[in-house]
Amino acid sequence: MSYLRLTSVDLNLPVGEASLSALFKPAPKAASDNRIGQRGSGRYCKALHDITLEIKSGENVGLIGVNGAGKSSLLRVLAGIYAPTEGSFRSQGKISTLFAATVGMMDNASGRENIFLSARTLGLSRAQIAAVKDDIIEFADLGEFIDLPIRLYSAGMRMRLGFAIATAIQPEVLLVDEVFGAGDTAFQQRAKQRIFQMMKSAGILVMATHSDPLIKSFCDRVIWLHEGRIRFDGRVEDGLQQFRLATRAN
Amino acid sequence: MPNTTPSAPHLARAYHFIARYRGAVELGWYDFISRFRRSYFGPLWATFQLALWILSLGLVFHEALGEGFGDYLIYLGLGFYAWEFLSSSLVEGPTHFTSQSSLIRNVPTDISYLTIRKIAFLVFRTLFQIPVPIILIVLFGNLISPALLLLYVPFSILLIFFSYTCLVILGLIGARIRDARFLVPSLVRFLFFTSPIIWRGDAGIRKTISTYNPISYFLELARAPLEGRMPSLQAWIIVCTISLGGFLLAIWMQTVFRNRLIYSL
Repeated sequence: MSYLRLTSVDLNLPVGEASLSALFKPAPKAASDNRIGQRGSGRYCKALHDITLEIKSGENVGLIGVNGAGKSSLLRVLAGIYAPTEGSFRSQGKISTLFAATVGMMDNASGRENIFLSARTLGLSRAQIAAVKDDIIEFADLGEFIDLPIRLYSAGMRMRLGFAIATAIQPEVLLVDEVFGAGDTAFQQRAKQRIFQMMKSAGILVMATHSDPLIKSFCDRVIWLHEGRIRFDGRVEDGLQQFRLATRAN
Repeated sequence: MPNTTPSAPHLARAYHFIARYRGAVELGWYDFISRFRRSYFGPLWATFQLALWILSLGLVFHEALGEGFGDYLIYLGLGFYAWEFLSSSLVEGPTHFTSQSSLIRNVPTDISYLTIRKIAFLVFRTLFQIPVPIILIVLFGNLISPALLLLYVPFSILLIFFSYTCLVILGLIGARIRDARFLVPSLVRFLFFTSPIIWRGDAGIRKTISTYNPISYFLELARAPLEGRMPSLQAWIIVCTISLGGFLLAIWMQTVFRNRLIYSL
Protein backbone atom coordinates (compact mmCIF):
# COMPACT_ATOMS: atom_id res chain seq x y z
CA MET A 1 0.00 0.00 0.00
CA SER A 2 1.39 3.37 -0.95
CA TYR A 3 1.34 6.43 1.28
CA LEU A 4 2.90 9.87 1.68
CA ARG A 5 3.41 11.18 5.18
CA LEU A 6 4.75 14.56 6.25
CA THR A 7 5.32 15.40 9.90
CA SER A 8 5.91 19.04 10.96
CA VAL A 9 7.73 19.81 7.76
CA ASP A 10 9.45 23.15 7.27
CA LEU A 11 11.13 23.97 3.99
CA ASN A 12 13.50 26.91 3.74
CA LEU A 13 14.92 27.68 0.33
CA PRO A 14 18.22 29.59 0.40
CA VAL A 15 18.09 32.69 -1.78
CA GLY A 16 21.74 32.09 -2.67
CA GLU A 17 22.91 35.55 -3.66
CA ALA A 18 26.54 35.42 -4.66
CA SER A 19 28.11 38.65 -5.66
CA LEU A 20 31.22 40.47 -4.60
CA SER A 21 29.26 43.55 -3.62
CA ALA A 22 27.00 41.46 -1.35
CA LEU A 23 30.03 40.73 0.81
CA PHE A 24 30.46 44.41 1.59
CA LYS A 25 26.81 45.29 2.02
CA PRO A 26 25.37 45.35 5.51
CA ALA A 27 23.12 42.36 6.11
CA PRO A 28 19.63 43.24 4.92
CA LYS A 29 17.15 43.84 7.68
CA ALA A 30 14.53 41.21 8.25
CA ALA A 31 12.02 42.09 5.59
CA SER A 32 8.49 43.04 6.45
CA ASP A 33 7.34 40.02 4.48
CA ASN A 34 7.59 37.29 7.07
CA ARG A 35 8.39 34.66 4.44
CA ILE A 36 11.96 35.89 3.97
CA GLY A 37 14.26 34.92 6.81
CA GLN A 38 17.86 35.62 7.64
CA ARG A 39 20.43 33.12 8.81
CA GLY A 40 24.02 34.26 9.15
CA SER A 41 24.83 36.26 6.05
CA GLY A 42 22.35 34.41 3.85
CA ARG A 43 18.67 35.00 3.27
CA TYR A 44 16.20 32.23 2.78
CA CYS A 45 12.60 31.91 1.69
CA LYS A 46 10.22 30.07 3.98
CA ALA A 47 8.47 27.98 1.38
CA LEU A 48 6.62 25.65 3.73
CA HIS A 49 5.91 25.85 7.41
CA ASP A 50 4.70 23.20 9.82
CA ILE A 51 3.09 20.91 7.28
CA THR A 52 1.68 17.71 8.70
CA LEU A 53 -0.40 15.51 6.45
CA GLU A 54 -0.92 11.98 5.35
CA ILE A 55 -2.14 10.82 1.97
CA LYS A 56 -3.17 7.20 1.63
CA SER A 57 -3.75 4.82 -1.26
CA GLY A 58 -6.78 5.68 -3.32
CA GLU A 59 -6.82 9.38 -2.47
CA ASN A 60 -6.85 12.04 -5.20
CA VAL A 61 -5.69 15.29 -3.70
CA GLY A 62 -5.95 18.72 -5.26
CA LEU A 63 -3.54 21.42 -4.08
CA ILE A 64 -4.92 24.93 -4.33
CA GLY A 65 -3.66 28.36 -3.36
CA VAL A 66 -2.59 31.64 -4.87
CA ASN A 67 0.75 32.00 -6.68
CA GLY A 68 3.64 31.47 -4.29
CA ALA A 69 1.51 29.65 -1.72
CA GLY A 70 3.90 26.67 -1.73
CA LYS A 71 2.07 24.21 -3.98
CA SER A 72 5.05 23.36 -6.18
CA SER A 73 7.39 23.25 -3.20
CA LEU A 74 5.10 20.79 -1.44
CA LEU A 75 4.94 18.61 -4.56
CA ARG A 76 8.72 18.60 -4.75
CA VAL A 77 9.00 17.56 -1.13
CA LEU A 78 6.54 14.74 -1.83
CA ALA A 79 8.61 13.70 -4.86
CA GLY A 80 11.78 13.56 -2.75
CA ILE A 81 13.39 16.36 -4.74
CA TYR A 82 13.52 18.83 -1.83
CA ALA A 83 14.60 17.42 1.51
CA PRO A 84 12.65 19.08 4.35
CA THR A 85 14.67 21.58 6.41
CA GLU A 86 12.81 20.43 9.53
CA GLY A 87 10.45 17.55 10.17
CA SER A 88 10.23 14.27 8.37
CA PHE A 89 8.91 12.83 5.14
CA ARG A 90 8.11 9.17 4.65
CA SER A 91 6.70 7.54 1.57
CA GLN A 92 6.01 4.19 0.02
CA GLY A 93 5.23 3.38 -3.57
CA LYS A 94 6.78 4.19 -6.91
CA ILE A 95 6.52 7.94 -7.47
CA SER A 96 6.14 9.48 -10.90
CA THR A 97 6.25 13.23 -11.42
CA LEU A 98 4.72 15.42 -14.06
CA PHE A 99 6.15 18.83 -13.24
CA ALA A 100 7.52 19.74 -16.63
CA ALA A 101 6.21 18.26 -19.84
CA THR A 102 9.49 17.47 -21.53
CA VAL A 103 11.83 16.10 -18.89
CA GLY A 104 14.95 14.63 -20.43
CA MET A 105 13.78 15.33 -23.97
CA MET A 106 15.82 16.83 -26.79
CA ASP A 107 14.25 19.41 -29.06
CA ASN A 108 15.86 18.09 -32.19
CA ALA A 109 14.93 14.47 -31.61
CA SER A 110 11.63 13.02 -32.82
CA GLY A 111 8.75 12.17 -30.51
CA ARG A 112 9.60 8.48 -30.91
CA GLU A 113 13.25 9.02 -29.94
CA ASN A 114 12.19 11.22 -27.07
CA ILE A 115 10.02 8.45 -25.65
CA PHE A 116 13.21 6.47 -25.31
CA LEU A 117 15.24 9.41 -23.95
CA SER A 118 12.68 10.53 -21.44
CA ALA A 119 11.74 7.05 -20.28
CA ARG A 120 15.41 6.13 -19.90
CA THR A 121 16.01 9.33 -17.93
CA LEU A 122 13.08 8.43 -15.71
CA GLY A 123 14.73 5.08 -15.00
CA LEU A 124 12.72 2.67 -17.16
CA SER A 125 14.54 -0.36 -18.50
CA ARG A 126 14.75 -1.21 -22.20
CA ALA A 127 12.30 -4.05 -21.73
CA GLN A 128 9.84 -1.76 -19.95
CA ILE A 129 10.13 0.83 -22.70
CA ALA A 130 9.58 -1.78 -25.39
CA ALA A 131 6.50 -2.97 -23.55
CA VAL A 132 4.87 0.45 -23.21
CA LYS A 133 6.12 2.26 -26.31
CA ASP A 134 3.07 1.52 -28.45
CA ASP A 135 0.77 2.43 -25.62
CA ILE A 136 2.56 5.79 -25.20
CA ILE A 137 2.31 6.54 -28.93
CA GLU A 138 -1.35 5.63 -29.00
CA PHE A 139 -2.19 7.58 -25.88
CA ALA A 140 -0.27 10.72 -26.91
CA ASP A 141 -2.21 10.54 -30.18
CA LEU A 142 0.21 12.69 -32.14
CA GLY A 143 -0.37 11.04 -35.51
CA GLU A 144 2.46 11.63 -37.95
CA PHE A 145 4.02 14.15 -35.59
CA ILE A 146 5.45 11.30 -33.55
CA ASP A 147 8.24 11.02 -36.15
CA LEU A 148 8.97 14.75 -36.28
CA PRO A 149 11.33 16.68 -34.00
CA ILE A 150 9.53 17.89 -30.91
CA ARG A 151 10.66 21.47 -31.49
CA LEU A 152 7.74 21.53 -33.94
CA TYR A 153 5.25 20.50 -31.24
CA SER A 154 2.81 22.84 -29.57
CA ALA A 155 2.79 23.13 -25.77
CA GLY A 156 -0.25 20.85 -25.66
CA MET A 157 1.39 18.18 -27.80
CA ARG A 158 4.50 18.17 -25.64
CA MET A 159 2.35 17.82 -22.57
CA ARG A 160 0.46 14.90 -24.10
CA LEU A 161 3.69 13.07 -24.81
CA GLY A 162 5.05 13.85 -21.33
CA PHE A 163 1.84 12.71 -19.65
CA ALA A 164 1.75 9.51 -21.71
CA ILE A 165 5.32 8.67 -20.64
CA ALA A 166 4.89 9.61 -16.96
CA THR A 167 1.81 7.40 -16.65
CA ALA A 168 2.90 4.59 -18.97
CA ILE A 169 4.33 2.42 -16.23
CA GLN A 170 1.50 2.57 -13.77
CA PRO A 171 2.96 4.69 -10.99
CA GLU A 172 1.67 4.14 -7.48
CA VAL A 173 1.96 7.84 -6.77
CA LEU A 174 1.49 10.46 -9.46
CA LEU A 175 2.38 14.08 -8.69
CA VAL A 176 1.18 16.64 -11.21
CA ASP A 177 1.95 20.35 -11.35
CA GLU A 178 -0.20 22.67 -13.43
CA VAL A 179 0.49 21.06 -16.77
CA PHE A 180 -3.04 20.09 -17.69
CA GLY A 181 -3.98 23.55 -18.84
CA ALA A 182 -2.23 22.94 -22.13
CA GLY A 183 -4.25 19.90 -23.19
CA ASP A 184 -7.46 20.10 -25.23
CA THR A 185 -10.80 18.81 -23.96
CA ALA A 186 -10.56 15.48 -25.76
CA PHE A 187 -7.15 14.83 -24.20
CA GLN A 188 -8.34 15.82 -20.76
CA GLN A 189 -11.08 13.22 -21.04
CA ARG A 190 -8.54 10.53 -21.87
CA ALA A 191 -6.19 11.71 -19.13
CA LYS A 192 -9.06 11.49 -16.71
CA GLN A 193 -9.81 7.92 -17.71
CA ARG A 194 -6.19 7.02 -17.32
CA ILE A 195 -6.01 8.50 -13.86
CA PHE A 196 -9.19 6.69 -12.82
CA GLN A 197 -7.63 3.49 -14.08
CA MET A 198 -4.58 4.26 -11.97
CA MET A 199 -6.75 4.88 -8.94
CA LYS A 200 -8.25 1.41 -9.31
CA SER A 201 -4.84 -0.06 -8.65
CA ALA A 202 -4.82 1.86 -5.36
CA GLY A 203 -2.66 4.77 -6.46
CA ILE A 204 -2.28 8.28 -5.13
CA LEU A 205 -2.73 11.41 -7.19
CA VAL A 206 -1.62 14.83 -5.97
CA MET A 207 -2.29 17.66 -8.39
CA ALA A 208 -1.59 21.36 -8.06
CA THR A 209 -3.84 23.49 -10.21
CA HIS A 210 -5.78 26.72 -10.45
CA SER A 211 -8.63 25.09 -12.31
CA ASP A 212 -11.76 24.34 -10.28
CA PRO A 213 -13.26 22.02 -12.91
CA LEU A 214 -10.08 19.93 -12.93
CA ILE A 215 -10.11 19.62 -9.15
CA LYS A 216 -13.79 18.73 -9.21
CA SER A 217 -13.37 16.05 -11.83
CA PHE A 218 -10.19 14.45 -10.50
CA CYS A 219 -10.04 14.98 -6.75
CA ASP A 220 -11.87 13.86 -3.68
CA ARG A 221 -9.79 15.86 -1.22
CA VAL A 222 -8.43 19.36 -1.40
CA ILE A 223 -5.56 21.02 0.44
CA TRP A 224 -5.46 24.79 0.42
CA LEU A 225 -2.02 26.23 0.99
CA HIS A 226 -1.54 29.83 2.01
CA GLU A 227 1.87 31.38 2.59
CA GLY A 228 3.44 27.99 3.05
CA ARG A 229 0.92 26.70 5.58
CA ILE A 230 -2.10 24.47 5.30
CA ARG A 231 -5.24 26.62 5.53
CA PHE A 232 -7.74 23.89 4.75
CA ASP A 233 -7.63 20.13 4.31
CA GLY A 234 -10.84 18.29 3.54
CA ARG A 235 -13.73 17.90 1.11
CA VAL A 236 -13.43 19.43 -2.33
CA GLU A 237 -16.59 21.57 -2.29
CA ASP A 238 -15.86 23.05 1.13
CA GLY A 239 -12.24 23.76 0.29
CA LEU A 240 -13.00 25.44 -3.01
CA GLN A 241 -15.78 27.50 -1.48
CA GLN A 242 -13.63 28.75 1.39
CA PHE A 243 -10.75 29.49 -0.95
CA ARG A 244 -12.99 31.43 -3.31
CA LEU A 245 -14.52 33.44 -0.46
CA ALA A 246 -11.09 34.31 0.91
CA THR A 247 -9.66 35.34 -2.46
CA ARG A 248 -12.74 37.41 -3.24
CA ALA A 249 -12.47 39.16 0.11
CA ASN A 250 -8.90 40.17 -0.75
CA MET B 1 13.25 -8.07 -10.71
CA PRO B 2 15.96 -10.64 -11.33
CA ASN B 3 15.93 -13.87 -9.38
CA THR B 4 18.62 -13.65 -6.77
CA THR B 5 19.71 -16.25 -4.34
CA PRO B 6 21.09 -15.36 -0.92
CA SER B 7 24.31 -17.16 -1.78
CA ALA B 8 25.14 -14.64 -4.50
CA PRO B 9 24.34 -11.24 -3.06
CA HIS B 10 27.42 -9.66 -4.63
CA LEU B 11 26.49 -10.89 -8.08
CA ALA B 12 22.97 -9.62 -7.59
CA ARG B 13 24.26 -6.26 -6.48
CA ALA B 14 26.62 -6.08 -9.45
CA TYR B 15 23.75 -6.98 -11.77
CA HIS B 16 21.57 -4.21 -10.29
CA PHE B 17 24.42 -1.74 -10.57
CA ILE B 18 25.03 -2.52 -14.23
CA ALA B 19 21.34 -2.61 -15.11
CA ARG B 20 20.84 0.74 -13.42
CA TYR B 21 23.71 2.56 -15.07
CA ARG B 22 23.36 0.99 -18.50
CA GLY B 23 20.70 3.59 -19.17
CA ALA B 24 23.15 6.36 -18.27
CA VAL B 25 25.69 5.00 -20.74
CA GLU B 26 23.06 4.79 -23.48
CA LEU B 27 22.01 8.37 -22.82
CA GLY B 28 25.68 9.41 -22.92
CA TRP B 29 25.95 7.84 -26.37
CA TYR B 30 22.81 9.71 -27.41
CA ASP B 31 24.23 13.00 -26.10
CA PHE B 32 27.34 12.36 -28.15
CA ILE B 33 25.74 11.54 -31.48
CA SER B 34 23.02 14.15 -31.15
CA ARG B 35 25.68 16.87 -31.27
CA PHE B 36 26.33 15.91 -34.86
CA ARG B 37 22.71 15.63 -35.94
CA ARG B 38 22.12 16.85 -39.48
CA SER B 39 25.83 16.96 -40.32
CA TYR B 40 27.20 14.81 -43.17
CA PHE B 41 30.14 13.29 -41.33
CA GLY B 42 28.40 12.89 -37.98
CA PRO B 43 30.58 11.79 -35.05
CA LEU B 44 33.58 11.50 -37.36
CA TRP B 45 33.93 15.23 -36.78
CA ALA B 46 35.30 14.38 -33.34
CA THR B 47 38.10 12.50 -35.12
CA PHE B 48 38.70 15.16 -37.78
CA GLN B 49 38.82 17.98 -35.25
CA LEU B 50 41.49 16.26 -33.18
CA ALA B 51 43.49 15.26 -36.26
CA LEU B 52 43.46 18.81 -37.61
CA TRP B 53 44.52 20.25 -34.28
CA ILE B 54 47.43 17.86 -33.93
CA LEU B 55 48.49 18.34 -37.53
CA SER B 56 48.46 22.12 -37.31
CA LEU B 57 50.28 22.20 -33.97
CA GLY B 58 52.78 19.65 -35.30
CA LEU B 59 53.49 21.61 -38.45
CA VAL B 60 54.12 24.81 -36.54
CA PHE B 61 56.04 23.51 -33.56
CA HIS B 62 58.23 20.65 -34.82
CA GLU B 63 60.55 23.09 -36.53
CA ALA B 64 60.42 25.71 -33.80
CA LEU B 65 61.42 23.05 -31.27
CA GLY B 66 63.96 21.46 -33.61
CA GLU B 67 62.34 18.01 -33.60
CA GLY B 68 61.86 15.40 -36.30
CA PHE B 69 58.34 15.63 -37.76
CA GLY B 70 57.32 11.99 -37.19
CA ASP B 71 58.68 11.64 -33.66
CA TYR B 72 57.24 14.96 -32.64
CA LEU B 73 53.82 14.15 -34.09
CA ILE B 74 53.65 10.96 -32.05
CA TYR B 75 54.73 12.78 -28.90
CA LEU B 76 52.27 15.60 -29.49
CA GLY B 77 49.46 13.33 -30.71
CA LEU B 78 49.50 10.98 -27.72
CA GLY B 79 49.79 13.87 -25.28
CA PHE B 80 47.05 15.89 -26.90
CA TYR B 81 44.75 12.88 -27.18
CA ALA B 82 44.95 12.31 -23.41
CA TRP B 83 44.78 16.04 -22.74
CA GLU B 84 41.47 16.29 -24.61
CA PHE B 85 39.85 13.90 -22.13
CA LEU B 86 41.49 15.47 -19.06
CA SER B 87 40.68 19.04 -20.04
CA SER B 88 37.09 18.24 -21.05
CA SER B 89 36.48 16.65 -17.65
CA LEU B 90 37.80 19.80 -15.99
CA VAL B 91 36.00 22.30 -18.23
CA GLU B 92 32.66 20.47 -18.15
CA GLY B 93 32.89 20.21 -14.34
CA PRO B 94 31.56 23.59 -13.16
CA THR B 95 28.45 23.42 -15.38
CA HIS B 96 27.89 19.70 -14.94
CA PHE B 97 24.91 20.09 -12.60
CA THR B 98 23.70 23.56 -13.56
CA SER B 99 23.24 22.46 -17.18
CA GLN B 100 20.94 19.70 -15.92
CA SER B 101 18.97 21.95 -13.59
CA SER B 102 15.58 21.39 -15.20
CA LEU B 103 16.00 17.65 -14.78
CA ILE B 104 17.21 17.88 -11.18
CA ARG B 105 14.35 20.23 -10.30
CA ASN B 106 11.64 18.13 -11.84
CA VAL B 107 12.55 14.49 -11.26
CA PRO B 108 14.22 12.79 -8.31
CA THR B 109 17.71 12.50 -9.79
CA ASP B 110 20.71 10.45 -8.86
CA ILE B 111 23.99 12.39 -8.98
CA SER B 112 25.95 9.29 -10.02
CA TYR B 113 23.54 8.61 -12.87
CA LEU B 114 24.00 12.11 -14.26
CA THR B 115 27.75 11.89 -13.86
CA ILE B 116 28.09 8.49 -15.51
CA ARG B 117 26.02 9.83 -18.40
CA LYS B 118 28.49 12.69 -18.87
CA ILE B 119 31.52 10.39 -18.51
CA ALA B 120 30.00 8.06 -21.12
CA PHE B 121 29.68 11.05 -23.43
CA LEU B 122 33.37 11.90 -22.94
CA VAL B 123 34.45 8.28 -23.34
CA PHE B 124 32.52 7.85 -26.60
CA ARG B 125 34.10 10.99 -27.96
CA THR B 126 37.54 9.72 -26.95
CA LEU B 127 36.87 6.35 -28.59
CA PHE B 128 35.95 8.08 -31.82
CA GLN B 129 39.25 9.93 -31.66
CA ILE B 130 41.30 6.76 -31.26
CA PRO B 131 42.12 6.45 -35.00
CA VAL B 132 44.28 9.56 -34.65
CA PRO B 133 46.96 8.11 -32.33
CA ILE B 134 46.71 4.74 -34.11
CA ILE B 135 47.41 6.30 -37.51
CA LEU B 136 50.31 8.27 -36.05
CA ILE B 137 51.84 5.13 -34.56
CA VAL B 138 51.38 3.19 -37.79
CA LEU B 139 52.92 5.96 -39.87
CA PHE B 140 55.77 7.06 -37.63
CA GLY B 141 56.08 4.64 -34.71
CA ASN B 142 58.21 1.62 -33.91
CA LEU B 143 57.10 -1.89 -33.07
CA ILE B 144 55.18 -1.94 -29.82
CA SER B 145 55.15 -4.65 -27.21
CA PRO B 146 51.58 -5.94 -26.65
CA ALA B 147 52.34 -6.42 -22.95
CA LEU B 148 52.96 -2.71 -22.57
CA LEU B 149 49.66 -1.94 -24.30
CA LEU B 150 47.87 -3.74 -21.47
CA LEU B 151 48.91 -0.86 -19.23
CA TYR B 152 46.26 1.23 -20.96
CA VAL B 153 43.56 -0.80 -19.23
CA PRO B 154 44.32 0.38 -15.67
CA PHE B 155 45.14 3.84 -17.01
CA SER B 156 41.73 4.15 -18.70
CA ILE B 157 40.02 3.10 -15.49
CA LEU B 158 42.00 5.72 -13.58
CA LEU B 159 40.97 8.33 -16.15
CA ILE B 160 37.31 7.49 -15.56
CA PHE B 161 37.80 7.96 -11.82
CA PHE B 162 39.55 11.25 -12.54
CA SER B 163 36.67 12.38 -14.71
CA TYR B 164 34.14 11.47 -12.01
CA THR B 165 36.19 13.45 -9.50
CA CYS B 166 36.29 16.56 -11.69
CA LEU B 167 32.63 16.46 -12.64
CA VAL B 168 31.24 15.95 -9.15
CA ILE B 169 33.59 18.16 -7.13
CA LEU B 170 33.74 21.01 -9.65
CA GLY B 171 30.04 20.51 -10.40
CA LEU B 172 29.05 20.99 -6.77
CA ILE B 173 31.39 23.95 -6.38
CA GLY B 174 30.30 25.41 -9.71
CA ALA B 175 26.63 25.26 -8.74
CA ARG B 176 27.29 27.19 -5.54
CA ILE B 177 29.99 29.55 -6.79
CA ARG B 178 29.15 30.64 -10.30
CA ASP B 179 32.61 32.14 -10.83
CA ALA B 180 33.99 28.63 -11.23
CA ARG B 181 32.63 28.31 -14.76
CA PHE B 182 34.79 31.25 -15.79
CA LEU B 183 37.77 30.45 -13.62
CA VAL B 184 38.20 26.78 -14.53
CA PRO B 185 38.44 27.20 -18.32
CA SER B 186 41.03 29.95 -17.78
CA LEU B 187 43.03 27.69 -15.50
CA VAL B 188 42.76 24.86 -18.01
CA ARG B 189 44.21 27.11 -20.70
CA PHE B 190 47.04 27.95 -18.30
CA LEU B 191 47.52 24.23 -17.61
CA PHE B 192 47.71 23.50 -21.33
CA PHE B 193 50.73 25.70 -21.75
CA THR B 194 52.37 24.66 -18.49
CA SER B 195 52.04 20.94 -19.19
CA PRO B 196 54.45 19.01 -21.40
CA ILE B 197 52.00 18.59 -24.29
CA ILE B 198 53.65 20.68 -26.98
CA TRP B 199 57.08 20.82 -25.38
CA ARG B 200 59.22 18.19 -23.66
CA GLY B 201 59.93 18.54 -19.95
CA ASP B 202 63.49 17.30 -20.25
CA ALA B 203 65.67 20.14 -19.00
CA GLY B 204 65.89 23.46 -17.18
CA ILE B 205 62.76 25.38 -16.26
CA ARG B 206 60.64 23.02 -18.36
CA LYS B 207 61.75 20.10 -16.23
CA THR B 208 60.90 21.96 -13.03
CA ILE B 209 57.46 22.94 -14.31
CA SER B 210 56.59 19.43 -15.43
CA THR B 211 57.81 17.92 -12.16
CA TYR B 212 55.35 19.97 -10.15
CA ASN B 213 52.49 19.80 -12.62
CA PRO B 214 50.36 16.70 -11.93
CA ILE B 215 49.10 16.66 -15.53
CA SER B 216 52.57 15.62 -16.70
CA TYR B 217 52.19 12.29 -14.89
CA PHE B 218 48.93 11.59 -16.68
CA LEU B 219 50.69 12.38 -19.95
CA GLU B 220 53.56 10.09 -19.00
CA LEU B 221 51.13 7.19 -18.55
CA ALA B 222 49.46 8.05 -21.85
CA ARG B 223 52.69 8.14 -23.83
CA ALA B 224 55.16 5.68 -22.32
CA PRO B 225 53.61 2.33 -23.45
CA LEU B 226 53.28 3.50 -27.06
CA GLU B 227 56.82 4.83 -26.97
CA GLY B 228 57.89 1.33 -25.96
CA ARG B 229 58.86 1.97 -22.37
CA MET B 230 57.50 1.36 -18.88
CA PRO B 231 55.98 4.48 -17.26
CA SER B 232 57.71 5.53 -14.07
CA LEU B 233 56.41 4.21 -10.76
CA GLN B 234 56.18 7.80 -9.55
CA ALA B 235 53.68 8.56 -12.34
CA TRP B 236 51.52 5.59 -11.33
CA ILE B 237 51.54 6.63 -7.69
CA ILE B 238 50.65 10.24 -8.39
CA VAL B 239 47.89 9.44 -10.90
CA CYS B 240 46.42 6.76 -8.61
CA THR B 241 46.45 9.14 -5.66
CA ILE B 242 44.75 11.95 -7.58
CA SER B 243 42.17 9.78 -9.30
CA LEU B 244 41.24 7.42 -6.49
CA GLY B 245 41.67 9.95 -3.68
CA GLY B 246 39.65 12.45 -5.66
CA PHE B 247 36.99 9.84 -6.34
CA LEU B 248 36.60 9.11 -2.63
CA LEU B 249 36.36 12.83 -1.91
CA ALA B 250 33.76 13.17 -4.68
CA ILE B 251 31.66 10.35 -3.23
CA TRP B 252 31.87 11.94 0.22
CA MET B 253 30.89 15.36 -1.17
CA GLN B 254 27.98 14.02 -3.17
CA THR B 255 26.65 12.22 -0.10
CA VAL B 256 26.93 15.30 2.09
CA PHE B 257 25.76 17.93 -0.40
CA ARG B 258 23.23 15.88 -2.38
CA ASN B 259 20.23 17.47 -0.68
CA ARG B 260 21.64 20.97 -0.91
CA LEU B 261 22.59 20.83 -4.57
CA ILE B 262 19.11 21.69 -5.77
CA TYR B 263 19.06 24.96 -3.82
CA SER B 264 22.07 26.20 -5.74
CA LEU B 265 20.62 25.55 -9.18
